[in-house]
Amino acid sequence: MAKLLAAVLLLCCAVQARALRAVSLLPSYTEIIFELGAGSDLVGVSNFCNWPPEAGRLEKTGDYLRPNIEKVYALEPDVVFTGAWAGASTGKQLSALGIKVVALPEEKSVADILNTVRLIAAALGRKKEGEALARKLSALAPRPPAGEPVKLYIEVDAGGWTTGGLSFISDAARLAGGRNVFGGERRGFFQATWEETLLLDPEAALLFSVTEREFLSRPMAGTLAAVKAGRVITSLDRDAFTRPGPRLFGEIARLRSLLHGKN
Amino acid sequence: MGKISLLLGALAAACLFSLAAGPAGLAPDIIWNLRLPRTLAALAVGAGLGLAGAMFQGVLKNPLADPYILGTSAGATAAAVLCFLAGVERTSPVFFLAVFAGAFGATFLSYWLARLAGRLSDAALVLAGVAVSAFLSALVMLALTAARERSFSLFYFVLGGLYSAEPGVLAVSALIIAACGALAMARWRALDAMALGAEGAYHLGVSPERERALFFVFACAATSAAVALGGTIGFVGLMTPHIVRLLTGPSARSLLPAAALGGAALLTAADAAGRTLFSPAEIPAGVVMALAGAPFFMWLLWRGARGRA
Repeated sequence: MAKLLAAVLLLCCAVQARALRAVSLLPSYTEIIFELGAGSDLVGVSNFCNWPPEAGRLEKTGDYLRPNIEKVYALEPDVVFTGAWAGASTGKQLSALGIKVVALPEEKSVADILNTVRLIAAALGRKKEGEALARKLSALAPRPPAGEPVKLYIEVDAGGWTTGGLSFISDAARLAGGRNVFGGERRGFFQATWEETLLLDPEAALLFSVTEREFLSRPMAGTLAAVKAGRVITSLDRDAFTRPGPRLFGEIARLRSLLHGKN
Repeated sequence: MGKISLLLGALAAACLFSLAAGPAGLAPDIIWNLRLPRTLAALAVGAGLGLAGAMFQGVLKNPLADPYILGTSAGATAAAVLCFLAGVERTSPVFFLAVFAGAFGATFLSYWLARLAGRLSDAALVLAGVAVSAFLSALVMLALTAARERSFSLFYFVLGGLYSAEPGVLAVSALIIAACGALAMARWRALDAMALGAEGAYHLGVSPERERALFFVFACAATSAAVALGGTIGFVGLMTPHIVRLLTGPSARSLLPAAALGGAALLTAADAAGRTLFSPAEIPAGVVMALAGAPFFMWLLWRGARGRA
């Protein structure tokens, strides 16, 4: 009997030690944490965290650039995951309150995302799961398919908001066998002029917030090789493709089969 | 006459710049299909805002009055954003009516607030306009926060720009602006009489209340048509009348058409510059105008202060 009691006590302690209280301030971190099987460790997420659906039911801490610091503090987290961007003061503020902060570098390539997965896993004491997840994800998008890459125009938001070479989205397109027509630009998001887009004459267009009809109504859209070839893609998930999280890898595989057929 | 040809020359130069500049060089189909509609949109929006500025400054006898300062643009923008969120199509008459109602409501509110202080002073009007604009901008920001899915394209509308003008909206807006210009021109004597003050106008047989209301309607209609097409673009209405007045003198007879031409030239040049300076990236015309216009506003205030000293 005593032995059984001791065993139960020991188990309780183990569970107690295991159950971290974590807060994620970015949707991509939240998705990674759930994918690591550590969703039960989360006690708070940002207002933008809507995936997986369970994340939507957790306590909300505000938007990710300016979270509600008091709310985060009140959740008594053991660890808070936030982005280490230039000018971000969230990490400093939370550290000053004695909270352990893991500030993760911004992902500029798909490989950086795997790095983030490993860093988060290590901070949650799940190194093994982290390695396994990184391996599983990179197997989905190992290297660009053989053959000539397809010239691709990526419109993240209406009005020509696209991305230059300094973003994981451009790198994701490369792994899918595309070549971002604005990939030569040494910047992240910017608004491209429609005339330049017409001149670059992409062979495929990947649209995340305008409909095909709206896109085709732009002046001279009909002259684009992408439109002539019927390769205006609106079927990919905006959140999944524009967040540096685990769902991106599945979207890369889907884009690859849209651009190059089944492989 | 030489002064008017100077204005026409500026307009021609702006159009030439807008039609000829761009990464595609002088490719005819790009000029015809892409740059021409965009130039027409910039011309219409600029003319509408220039006209509205000249009307507001004349009827209120206030050199600082313009659709941006008075809250007219903010009212139109707030109404437009609400229409987008409610799913009202940009080409439907409901959209134009709502945007006009927003513009007129905000302008009237600024005017009424300024009048509460007693005599209608320049400072009271600007202050009231700032208060109304700030409140409406806050409403727009609240709406943008609530509508996360579309907030980026709405934010872009609020910044003001002419990325892709729909031909239907362009045609209706241009028509409204032309009608406002014609109606205002038909009453240029009344606007000149208003420059003498309410009493002077009354003695010339002009009813100041009636004229003020009419010109408010014209100016708000022109502004709302401009906002429907190009979003919130500031300072065109403020700067243009001051610049063209140097050429035409104070009479509305020549000031109104000159303000329309000057506003058209100014915004067309600003839009072309925003689109070509940092190519392939585009700077919205509203941002270019604010960069040029805010220092101009400061200069007006400084000059006014020196005049009183």
